Amino acid sequence: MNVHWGLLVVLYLFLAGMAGGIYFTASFYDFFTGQRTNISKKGYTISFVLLLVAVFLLILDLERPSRFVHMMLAYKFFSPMSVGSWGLLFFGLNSFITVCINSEGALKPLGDFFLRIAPFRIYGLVGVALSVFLSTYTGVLLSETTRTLWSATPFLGALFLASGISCGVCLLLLIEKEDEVFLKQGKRFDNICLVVELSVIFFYILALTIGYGPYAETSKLFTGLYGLLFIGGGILIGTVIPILMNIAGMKGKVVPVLVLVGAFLLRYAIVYAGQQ
Amino acid sequence: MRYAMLNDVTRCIGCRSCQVACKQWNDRKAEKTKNVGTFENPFELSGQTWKRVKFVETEKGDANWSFLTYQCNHCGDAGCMAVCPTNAIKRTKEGAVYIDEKICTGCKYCLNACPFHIPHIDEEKHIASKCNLCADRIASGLMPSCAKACPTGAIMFGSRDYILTVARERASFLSKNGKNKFTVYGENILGGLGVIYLLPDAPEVYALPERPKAPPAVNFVNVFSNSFVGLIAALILTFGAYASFKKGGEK
Repeated sequence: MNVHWGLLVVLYLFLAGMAGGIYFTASFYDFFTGQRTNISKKGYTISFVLLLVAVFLLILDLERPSRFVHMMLAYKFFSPMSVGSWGLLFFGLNSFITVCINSEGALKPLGDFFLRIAPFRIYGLVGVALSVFLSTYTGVLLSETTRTLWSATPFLGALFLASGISCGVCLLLLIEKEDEVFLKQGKRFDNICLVVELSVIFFYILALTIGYGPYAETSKLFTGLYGLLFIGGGILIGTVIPILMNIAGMKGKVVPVLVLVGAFLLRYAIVYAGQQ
Repeated sequence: MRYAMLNDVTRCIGCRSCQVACKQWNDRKAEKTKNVGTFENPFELSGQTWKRVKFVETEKGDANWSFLTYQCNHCGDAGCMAVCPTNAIKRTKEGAVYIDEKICTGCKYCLNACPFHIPHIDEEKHIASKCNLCADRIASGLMPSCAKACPTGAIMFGSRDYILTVARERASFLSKNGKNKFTVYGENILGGLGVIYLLPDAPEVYALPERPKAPPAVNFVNVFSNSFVGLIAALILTFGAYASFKKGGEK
């Protein structure tokens, strides 16, 4: 069977999920600590940049920018891709507003204008809701197909959400060097995300096994190259080993790197194995 | 009125006139094909090949070679149409499901949503491409080009009710007078197909799924279940963020 959605789509799902994850983390960090921190300011900017890269990849896959505009000319409630495109647009706009508000440079007057319309907290909370939508939609998009691996269970949305947020925290942990408080708290939150992700993976595999047994279509995710990428990359490198390293109190940047690599491999394996 | 096509395996001789007629009428280009060890040519549908004849060899005592002319089935519940984000896939009042080339973005969602794996990418235009049941001919009171070209009457075209009646009668007659149990495929699945098949064997012999699965978007169950589970995960992670980031929780 032909692979219709290839590397560009895998990268898009990975980056869009991570953009949502970073926004979620940065916004809640501000919200629960009651201050606007430097790390969250960096987070908003990175989230916006990642989103732009993700959209660029999407346009590359469609081959012409005008075709992305076509998506915005129609709204179709029953098509996750249509709803997702609108979600992407609104998340992008809200993300841009957040970047403006936190800017110290040329965008500051624009940020002040937005602050006159609503307080920052409102933009942050709207952004959190949109970030949850964005990260979840990357999984729901796959589930609305006839590919058994994607559509047989209701867990792909939750899996890509947990993985996207975990990637978001890890990217912030990778770039932050000075904020000891965030490094400690972020690591703790990352471990929670990883445990949730691992639990969702467990239910995903359980649902596939109970529903389909050793049926050839689903076994492709557990055997051969895709099995290696999914189990070795997505599960072991992406979740199990980082959880154990976090519990063992290991410091440094190894855990975030492993999580990011694992999350990419997880998506790669699911997207490719689903089309075999 | 909804129209349909009957592909009768018992009458097809594998001459491929339908393939040629389809290419000519729809201005599809010839493609370089590969010999993959069978007489099937081409071996699969593509952006330029909307119709092909499957060669199926079965053995029940004597070897038996049958031919199945195959293209888009114009489902009543068309998954491709349901998921298309730009409404580029439409249905005519006669029941033909077609792709509007001006609106299609080439996102390939329909390729992953079709239970028969029919749409393909037209590599030149980079848009989805598939049989349109010669909607332009039907609108002018003509039958699809493949049905017109078929020399043996293996492809019939008419109102769906009439086609189903013919298919049932033929299946009943052949089952009574032959060795095989004949099947009418496509009557009720996926909202009723616009292409009905008369088969001398079970559908899977011809690589037709017995119970083809519509993409969940058609009944919307997966969107809700996936979003609901996603929402639960989001609530757990929000609580996780609170537990991790709350004031005084840095120790």
